[in-house]
Amino acid sequence: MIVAIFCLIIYSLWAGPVLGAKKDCFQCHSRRALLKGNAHPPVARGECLKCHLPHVSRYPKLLTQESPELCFTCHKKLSDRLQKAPFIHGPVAKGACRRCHEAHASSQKNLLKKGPKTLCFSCHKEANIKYARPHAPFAKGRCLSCHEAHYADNRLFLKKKDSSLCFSCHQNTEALARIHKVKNVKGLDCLSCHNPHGGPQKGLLRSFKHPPYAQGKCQTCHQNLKAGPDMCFKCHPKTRSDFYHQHNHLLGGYEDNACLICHAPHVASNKEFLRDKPRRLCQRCHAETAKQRAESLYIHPKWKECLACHLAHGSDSPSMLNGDGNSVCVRCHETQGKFTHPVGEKVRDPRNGQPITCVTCHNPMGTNFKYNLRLSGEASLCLECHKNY
Amino acid sequence: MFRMPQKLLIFILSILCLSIHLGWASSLKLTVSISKGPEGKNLYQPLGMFFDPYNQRFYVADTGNNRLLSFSLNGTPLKSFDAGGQLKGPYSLVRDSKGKIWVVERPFNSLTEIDLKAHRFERHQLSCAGHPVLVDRIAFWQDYLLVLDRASGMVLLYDKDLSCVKSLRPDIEDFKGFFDFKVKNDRLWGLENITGRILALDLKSGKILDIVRPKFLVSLPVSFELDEKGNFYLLDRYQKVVFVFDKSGTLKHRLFKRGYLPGELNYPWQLLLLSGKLLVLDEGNGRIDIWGH
Repeated sequence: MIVAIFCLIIYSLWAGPVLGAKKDCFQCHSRRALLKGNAHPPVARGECLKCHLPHVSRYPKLLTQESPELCFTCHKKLSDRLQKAPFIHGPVAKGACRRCHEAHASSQKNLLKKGPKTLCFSCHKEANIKYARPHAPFAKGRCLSCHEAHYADNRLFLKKKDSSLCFSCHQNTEALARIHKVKNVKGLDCLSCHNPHGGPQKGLLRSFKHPPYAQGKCQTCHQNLKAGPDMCFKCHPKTRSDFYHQHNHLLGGYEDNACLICHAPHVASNKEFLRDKPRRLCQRCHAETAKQRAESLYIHPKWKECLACHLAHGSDSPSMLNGDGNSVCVRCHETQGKFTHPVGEKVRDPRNGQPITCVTCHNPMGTNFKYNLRLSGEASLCLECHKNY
Repeated sequence: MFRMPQKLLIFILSILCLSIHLGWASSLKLTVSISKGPEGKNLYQPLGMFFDPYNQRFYVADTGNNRLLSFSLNGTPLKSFDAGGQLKGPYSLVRDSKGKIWVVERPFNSLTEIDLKAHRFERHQLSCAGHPVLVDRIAFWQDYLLVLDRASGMVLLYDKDLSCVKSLRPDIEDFKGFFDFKVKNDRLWGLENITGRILALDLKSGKILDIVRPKFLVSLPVSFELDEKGNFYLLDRYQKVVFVFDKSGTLKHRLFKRGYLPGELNYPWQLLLLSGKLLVLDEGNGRIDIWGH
């Protein structure tokens, strides 16, 4: 009797996946197609029922659950780490595992749909640049040599912070220190001067050179480092008055020289010497804007071009807009500037007595309503002021 | 005689203790909402607020209208002043014991001295240790004028001749500069840029006396206050709320919500706590809301 029960258990454990999958599933679904290249372990073991239901399901492809919950039933470590991760890759945050991974098998490692370079560039199109001198991992399409795919503790999803990532391949030699005129290069921010993807010249230096640096006149700045922003204003006197506005970005004390929060002192990839593209640079401090964007259905098409609407140094308008709540919009939206709901000094918002502007009703940073309206344009927005309608 | 069950008694006492402990902030009610000056003109982008204990009035820098306004503590508008049209973009202000008004005019980066009795209006450009100062919020302590320098993130002490006598910077490596400050009981309390950390310094020695770090996420902290019970009030301009937390940094309340109506916040800029009243200056709504009981 005991032997019979034992045999029954063994049979049922074997028969479930094997009969359920190998025999039943593969009668219709080509086994060869599903097991091409590197196979997902449950597929290789014929455990189709780990992910699929045989008869009916409320999810597509007869899945037992939706992604990513289904994936996280096995990949628990990843799920746990994502809970604590400060930065999560967009598709991962949306639970879109299958945007990068195949479910059954792939010719690529980690069941990737395509090679890392092709796959990454399918979204990160702006990074797909041909350089005269590309960085070797970039040229070989080894994005994952430097970047994490799922989560990271930094906005660029770098595997290691600061220069330690670079020194995992490059040797920290005396010669390197001599070139950089320091005792130890480990404390330097390599990415401030070097483009990690590539550049026009040896050393992958960024293209735009600050004149004192280009001329080798290091002491122009380095003898005045203690002066902070004043050092920069000596050569850029007009910039000083950019900060004489009600709202300004001069966050003294945030770094020894507040200008260097946003600007690189030696070389940069843009003529403004910004440390990064505005959409990434601004988010270093204004992380909540990215959160608002992620939670919004409607976003202004120029959302990523912060400086299209905002001034970087100073402004007399809230949010450091480049003009009041009308003029900043009318520069592009010319028609709305002439024909719209009455706006301006003489038209007052009954809720607070302030002049009505475009941003009274619209929020370009992102909302859940068409045209970036703050509330539904069907009724609720209008009823805020027009109570009798 | 009626005998209350012991468990019920304990329960009621616990609730009572809890409500006393948390009470003040959670039971705030909007008492007055000020949106107009004495002549009926709406405030426009006001950015500065100062309470004068000598005459029990509070003063507002109505920045967008280039004027100063005074109000009684119950919110009655008293006077409007624009120095005969000379005043431009007043940003912050204080009134000294002699009745002189000191105003920061941001378009000129000046500390402007206004002596009404002597009919004097003079703009001063400040510097400290040879460096020009980007004048921000100001306050008085004893005979010193305290100036927040946005260029260095430090609070500078000026004597009556406007000579810079001291600069206050916490002696910690990761200090990121002050964005706002208050003076209470010979202590300088400063709100750090971006982080929301609040530091207390001894005004005489400059030594750090306290560091309070919020244990919750802040986005854009722009002003703060502290009450006698040791609670901190932190104004978050982006989230449009006031966080109330204790000395350990533990969040106790989130006050107010975003919006345009009285009591709601649009682009809030400054907090002031006066004898049981919390004043919230809202640039976006052009309003000062006074909360009390």
